[in-house]
Amino acid sequence: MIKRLMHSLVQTLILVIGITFLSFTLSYLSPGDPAEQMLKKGGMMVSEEALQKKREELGLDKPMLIQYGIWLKNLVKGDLGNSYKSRKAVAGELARTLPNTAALAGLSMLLVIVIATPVGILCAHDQNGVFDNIWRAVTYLFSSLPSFFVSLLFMYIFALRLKWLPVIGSNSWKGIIMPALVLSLTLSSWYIRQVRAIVLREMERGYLDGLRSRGIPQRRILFRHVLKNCMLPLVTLFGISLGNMMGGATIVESIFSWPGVGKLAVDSITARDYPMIQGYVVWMALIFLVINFLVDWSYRFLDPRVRREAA
Amino acid sequence: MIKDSTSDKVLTVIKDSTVDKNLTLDKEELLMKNKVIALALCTALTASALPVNVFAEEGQKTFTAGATTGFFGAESLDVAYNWDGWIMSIYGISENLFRLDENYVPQPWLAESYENVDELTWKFNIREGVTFSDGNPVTAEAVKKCFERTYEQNERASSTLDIASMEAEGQVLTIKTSAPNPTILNDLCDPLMGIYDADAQVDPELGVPCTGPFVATSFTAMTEVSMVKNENYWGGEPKVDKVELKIIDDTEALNMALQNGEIDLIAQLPAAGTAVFADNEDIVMESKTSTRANFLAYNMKHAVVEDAAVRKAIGMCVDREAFADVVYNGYATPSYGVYPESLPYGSTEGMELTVTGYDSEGAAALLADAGYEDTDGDGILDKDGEPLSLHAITYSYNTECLQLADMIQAELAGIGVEMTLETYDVLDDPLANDEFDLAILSHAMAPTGSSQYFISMLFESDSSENMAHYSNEEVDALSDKLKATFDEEERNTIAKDVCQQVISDKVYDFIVHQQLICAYSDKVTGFEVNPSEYYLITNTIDIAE
Repeated sequence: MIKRLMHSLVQTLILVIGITFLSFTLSYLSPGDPAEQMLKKGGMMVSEEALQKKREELGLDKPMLIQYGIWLKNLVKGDLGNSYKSRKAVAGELARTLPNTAALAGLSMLLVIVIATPVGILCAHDQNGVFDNIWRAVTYLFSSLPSFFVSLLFMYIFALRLKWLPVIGSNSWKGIIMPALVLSLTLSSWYIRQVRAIVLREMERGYLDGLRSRGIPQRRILFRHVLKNCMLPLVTLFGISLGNMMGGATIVESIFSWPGVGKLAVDSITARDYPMIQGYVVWMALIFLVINFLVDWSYRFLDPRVRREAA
Repeated sequence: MIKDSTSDKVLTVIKDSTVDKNLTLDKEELLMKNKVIALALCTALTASALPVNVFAEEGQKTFTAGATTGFFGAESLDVAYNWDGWIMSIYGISENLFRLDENYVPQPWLAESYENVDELTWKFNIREGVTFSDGNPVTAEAVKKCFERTYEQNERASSTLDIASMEAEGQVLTIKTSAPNPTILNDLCDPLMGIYDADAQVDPELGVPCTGPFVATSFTAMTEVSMVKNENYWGGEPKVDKVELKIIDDTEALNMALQNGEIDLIAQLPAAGTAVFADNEDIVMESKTSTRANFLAYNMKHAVVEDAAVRKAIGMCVDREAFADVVYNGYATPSYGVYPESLPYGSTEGMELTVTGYDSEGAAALLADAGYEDTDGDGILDKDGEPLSLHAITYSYNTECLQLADMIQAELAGIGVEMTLETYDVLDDPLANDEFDLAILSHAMAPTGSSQYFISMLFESDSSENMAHYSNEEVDALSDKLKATFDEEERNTIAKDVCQQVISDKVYDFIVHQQLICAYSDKVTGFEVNPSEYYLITNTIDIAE
């Protein structure tokens, strides 16, 4: 057990160093530097001396490897550094925006599971029937519409016409409803197809004939046996989606003025705010590691074979 | 037929599920409990993470405004940090010694009067009875300390206003400059020179006390700021009790927030958004010509645009009126000169203009006269075996510049000139590396009202932003003269002389001057658009209940 844990730790370490180095190199190589982005605001021009001073202040005059080395050294000490743009601690900025993203991601994923799982199973059960065809149309519609369009459409209907929900997300508790709906509907439409496909594949298995011949009702077969066996791929997919969502939904966050981590990441990339970008990358790496671990761990509960192998 | 069978199937499934529930009630109950707990946890997580809502107290007037990050986005509430002073001035938190009026002329603000003792020495009388929001008096000493801190913290300060020394006595602040500086009053309007209490402890969230009509009570960088009126405000009690400013980066959402009554005003409405409110009787739109311009810059190092006839022909192919009408919905002013007419030195009256209107036929004739013809029949004009083909660059995110580029491209194709276009997120590198023949740009030309700024940045031979490699000895001499001239009228004449040179040389071609547009609910009173983009929230803004 300890050996396995050590093994994963070493893997994690290599992974974190690898991706942070990659992201550092990419931001370094992209045109424009943080000093220019900070000083040249809104079509204003600044002198070369001012730019040079800022570069020295931020340590941008040092070679790239040295800059990365300094960052890595601080990371080992548990210090993600300060944002170039706001001077605030990167960890603090992430901590400020993460709860908002977690709330949005949590609620959206919950809605996805609640919508997609039963609908997907029923579509599989009713393969090529009316119910399946209606949902096929709905899912095609929502997966082909870009999220910004769905957001604006919902905003127009629910805020401007019906006056049920606010346009500005961060104003009241009602503000989370629309962004969560948009995210969950666009993702659900993809999931309904996935669940349907997985369930259909499972339904072709021979053991179902056995169950049917023993007179077990179709519904029980579907929800007790088929669903159970579909859980493994589904949990993996849900895990990946949750990871993606914890990285923030940039477009939806931006449209609904939801102060999440996605908007923070995009702002940081625009400003070439290296420490902030690095902080975000570390967060993404961690969240995927944790989710992967949790998904692996859940297999033990969902699949007795995995449990036996582990034992 | 199919329909019926499907509904039956669905029904069967639902029925089955009911039967099944009865069979395995204990397990289901347990599962249900778990689900309820999970749901409760999720709800709790969601609720705890929601941003705190600031509800307006009864009987208190709250004014709410929205804008994109570009106009409202501050990193901190520290005047000295980066550009945050600019945003704090917009917020109505900080004020300067001088304020630009609608013609960009500096007027006394926290300074009551001034005296230009000699070329290097200026005496400013600080207004009596002004206090910071914490009640401390604004003395000359306080202003001196404030400037000292700003100069120490911000690398832009010394290039904004070069101060050699300062002396404070009572309410009189004496500033000595390192070189004669006739634009000192304009420079003092730059919000970076905003006045704050440098003796006060800097609050990491709310900054330091300033003198403006409003004081921040909560601030989330790049998201929102809440303010209450400054009880100690010197310029008259603010009409509203609270101000809420929100950053909404999606312009459609921003428009809908105003239509929905969630905000009372949109600051710096994009021109494309004006169509939304054109027929809305509840919304007022007000605009003033700013000093922001869309213009063309030719790379004088490149042979293809070295010929003045080519540059003039391109200028004649740009339909400035149509561009202002269609792309800016009429919220831009066509330009045939350099600066906007609203500036004291912006008028083109009496000047010899090279282009006076859209004339593509004239442009074609001009090129023919200059010896360009399509000898190889490929549809592109050529001369001495070289095709007349230009490489243009512009910003990938600036819709207006992109539309201008498209328009020029189509017009030029019509007269046999090929134009390829490349867009960049960051234009600095291709500009610095001469990777263009024609750059389509957008800049603020006189943020503090001074003509010197743009001349020193773009028109002088060795200026830092002179990516066009423009060089005219007369312009250089005029610029030097401008730097040493204190008489305002004479300065305006020199600036106009520079403009005449720039117009004749045709290295830069100014297309339109943009307007600063604000849209607001008809309940709002006492609001006025100031074209400088430095000011927005004032003590006179009021809102009907």
